[in-house]
Amino acid sequence: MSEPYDNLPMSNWQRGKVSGKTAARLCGHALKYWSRKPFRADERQIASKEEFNRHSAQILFKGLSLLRGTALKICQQLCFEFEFFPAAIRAELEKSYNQVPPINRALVRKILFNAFGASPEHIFRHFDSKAFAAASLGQVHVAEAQDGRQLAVKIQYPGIRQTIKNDLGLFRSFLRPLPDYPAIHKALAEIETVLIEETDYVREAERMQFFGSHLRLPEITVPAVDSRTSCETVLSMHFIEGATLNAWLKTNPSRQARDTVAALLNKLFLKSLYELNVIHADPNPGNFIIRKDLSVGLVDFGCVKRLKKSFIDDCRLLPYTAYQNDKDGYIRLLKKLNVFKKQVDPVLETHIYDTAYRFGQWYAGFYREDVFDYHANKDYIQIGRDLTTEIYQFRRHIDLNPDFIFLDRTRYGLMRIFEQLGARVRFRNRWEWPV
Amino acid sequence: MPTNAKTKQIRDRILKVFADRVVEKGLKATTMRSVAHAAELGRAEIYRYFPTRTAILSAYYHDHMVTCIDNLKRVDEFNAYSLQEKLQLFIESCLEAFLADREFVDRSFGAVFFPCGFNGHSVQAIREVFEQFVDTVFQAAIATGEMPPQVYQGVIYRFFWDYYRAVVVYWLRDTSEQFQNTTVLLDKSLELFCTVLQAGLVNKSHDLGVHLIKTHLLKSFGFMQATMAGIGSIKRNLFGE
Repeated sequence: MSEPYDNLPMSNWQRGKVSGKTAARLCGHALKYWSRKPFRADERQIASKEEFNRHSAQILFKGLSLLRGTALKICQQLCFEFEFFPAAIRAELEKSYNQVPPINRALVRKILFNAFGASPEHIFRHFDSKAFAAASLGQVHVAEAQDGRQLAVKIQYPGIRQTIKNDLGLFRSFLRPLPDYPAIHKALAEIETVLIEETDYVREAERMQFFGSHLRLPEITVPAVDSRTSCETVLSMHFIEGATLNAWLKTNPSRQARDTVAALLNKLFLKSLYELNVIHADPNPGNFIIRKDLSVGLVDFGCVKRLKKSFIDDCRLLPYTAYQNDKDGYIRLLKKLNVFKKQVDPVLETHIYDTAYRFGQWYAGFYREDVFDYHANKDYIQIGRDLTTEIYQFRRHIDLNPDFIFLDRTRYGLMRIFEQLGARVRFRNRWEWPV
Repeated sequence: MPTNAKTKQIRDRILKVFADRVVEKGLKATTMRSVAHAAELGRAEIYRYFPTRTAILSAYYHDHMVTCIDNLKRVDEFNAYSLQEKLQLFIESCLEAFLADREFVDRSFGAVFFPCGFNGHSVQAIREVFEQFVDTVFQAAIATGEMPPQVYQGVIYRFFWDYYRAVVVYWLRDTSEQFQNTTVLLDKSLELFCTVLQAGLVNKSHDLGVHLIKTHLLKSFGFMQATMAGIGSIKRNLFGE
């Protein structure tokens, strides 16, 4: 489950040293940029700023990737929000997604003792002190409850919240010299909320119970929470047999099996969005457990987002409006969703609308045929990624609604999974498409 | 009731009463007489169990350490734990056992574990139990090949004893929720400590030191010996035997 943790700076002074070095390099780089700025021709200003951002991202990544754990996770979240990380660095960040320091057996006992005032052998009939999977900012153990039921017990490293706060504080200091700092600052606040929520297991248990009782999809299993052995730092749930999506893909499943799983994931997303108005906003392949009968177990409810009904009602019209080549209607909808800032130069406005509409057209491409074949359209996601980068250039004139960012990120994550599956997916559905 | 059991019961009662009195009145104000009174013993009777206050104090910490070590034997698969896990669980168990008497430990730990003058012997018995446990854990790690045999083993045990005392003092000053700072400190520092041992860093430093001494210091010593012999020979030639 875990990768080697050699060279991972653990102590505060080591982390401080890495942080200090990175901050010094970033400040030096910023000083160089600001001192040369007045002497640059106007047309070179934008290019030079882009270059500055890119170089800063490289310095930041080099420094903070040494810290791993929460710092790296923040880095990853920032990378999703801001495209200034070069592609190679983005790929590295995605690879190291679960590199949090492992928790040893003595510490596992301590965490359980702190949580329940008793040792694991008194809390469970059996507890496997070796973790079987990494969770975001924690790890998962198999246990047997006193009533004989198999459990998956998720635990988190002690004081993880404080570490998140400290690491975010470091990020704020590092990134202050960047010209895009106001936007980054806003994103960091959002990331802090998400990470703190991810470490609140009481909230996660409530969300699991909500999905478990409201989803009502027989092919999707949401594990039941074992409330007797759950608290803010420990979350016990019924164990789901099966393999994570990535592990399952390694068994070379048939095309039909992959199509079935993709259809289920799509159904899960649409039903939660349009009927429950709540989405599981972390479509990480490790969060989907594929069972032998091709039903899917859904785990990790650390990142769940409730969306406003009025917002969803407007969003549902986007694909069909773009599909019908109704540019005015599409832009009207985006304005209603508060995507654009009000006062923009008319020439720039046309440019922004054109790019946003081209993105809409690309998105409608999934709905153009009855079934979209990812295997036959291997480059299609890349086109969308390029369009997102283009839209990002107008970030100062686009004031994205945070709900829109969440929805977009979840859809994108799901698309990536479909791409991985090389599946055929029926996108037209009763909520977004007229019968 | 058998005599031994009764003796143990009274002994435990004295320890408990003593701890309570120290919390209430402070260490200095807790006299043998007041403890005997609170434990419902005669003034002289208490001396049959403990000759001095210091003896009661060291008995408390000695019993505490023995109990903690005994409890570790009941932990599932304890023998399969790594060196770090064993040491970490041992210290965590000690701290957990201190929890109920935290105030008492705060007031008395320094007097027992950082003794001065005539009280130095009071900690000896506790230290022996401690080092015996650490030795068992180290020997097991060496037997399984988890770490190489260490030179200066005694110095390492001494260092670990100092480390244990420092951790308890840190824990007593720790105000974080559920003493999380101590837990994290323990985790990180023991990982570093065990990495140093497993990498054979002490042995390698020793080898380097020996090499430097042999090739440089002892060589100079040889030169000095030859010089001294030369001077001796000149003296003999000049002044005779």
